[in-house]
Amino acid sequence: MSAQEALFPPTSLTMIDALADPSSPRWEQFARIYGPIVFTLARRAGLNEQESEEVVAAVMSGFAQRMRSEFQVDYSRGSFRSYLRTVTRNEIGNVRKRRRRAGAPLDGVDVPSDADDPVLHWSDVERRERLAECLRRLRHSGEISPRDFEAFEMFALRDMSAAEVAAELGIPAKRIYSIKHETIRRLQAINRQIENEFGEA
Amino acid sequence: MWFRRCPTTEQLDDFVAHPEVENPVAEHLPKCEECRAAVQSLLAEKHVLDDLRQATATDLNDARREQIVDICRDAARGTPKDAHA
Ligand SMILES: [Zn+2]
Repeated sequence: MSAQEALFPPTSLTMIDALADPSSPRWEQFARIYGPIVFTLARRAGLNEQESEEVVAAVMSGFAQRMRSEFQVDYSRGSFRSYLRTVTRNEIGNVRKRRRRAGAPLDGVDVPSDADDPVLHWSDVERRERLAECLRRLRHSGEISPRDFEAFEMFALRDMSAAEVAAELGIPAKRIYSIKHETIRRLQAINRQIENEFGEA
Repeated sequence: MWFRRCPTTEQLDDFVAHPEVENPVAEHLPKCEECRAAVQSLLAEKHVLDDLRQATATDLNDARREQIVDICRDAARGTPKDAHA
């Protein structure tokens, strides 16, 4: 079993070759979800924007090298996700150590201590990032009109009332509700597609 | 106010979306299995929306996400970050 096969469950084998190639569309789909997760967790751990970018770059660079590697590595304990978690945890730890040596405080008011696992909330962040990606894919899919998409954002995400949205966009209020339900159904379908691509969050 | 018949789907929707508002739907539900089932599925949708709100309420806007994807791509290709600057 190659390192790549070991990183992914058998159902995801189709994407493995693609992930070894950073110019493939599959790599981009991967980066759109996992890049922001690593960045978000680094920021939450008190790293600044630039340091968080460095963590993202280090994690992705390491991951890509693994994917290209010809060596057989034992990943039987977990999936590619647990590999990413571990590398993210280590990279965040490295930056924190560097900071401490330099005597620089961490960003943020409620910065967790070093004892807290910086990737503890990975699953929650991943669930949300996948939904953000669902929203992006839906917006670019042409499956929904820009007006309906805007209605969904205003009504479902920005808490405007159906009457307000109806008045602003010139859509019957009753239709606003069905736009919301249809859009959620579409998002859930895209989310299932992402589950097929990357496994369950 | 009470419901002689079942509330409309829009009324059920408002009830689920704004539980803090007093709503006659609450009195109807114990008497109606069909509306309870409808509310259950609306609650599942609400969970998705709650997650989605949190995902879109971070300081990661679309432009920032694109930058992060670029960083990932460059790192994976082994391109130094400054090469683009
Ligand atoms: Zn009823």
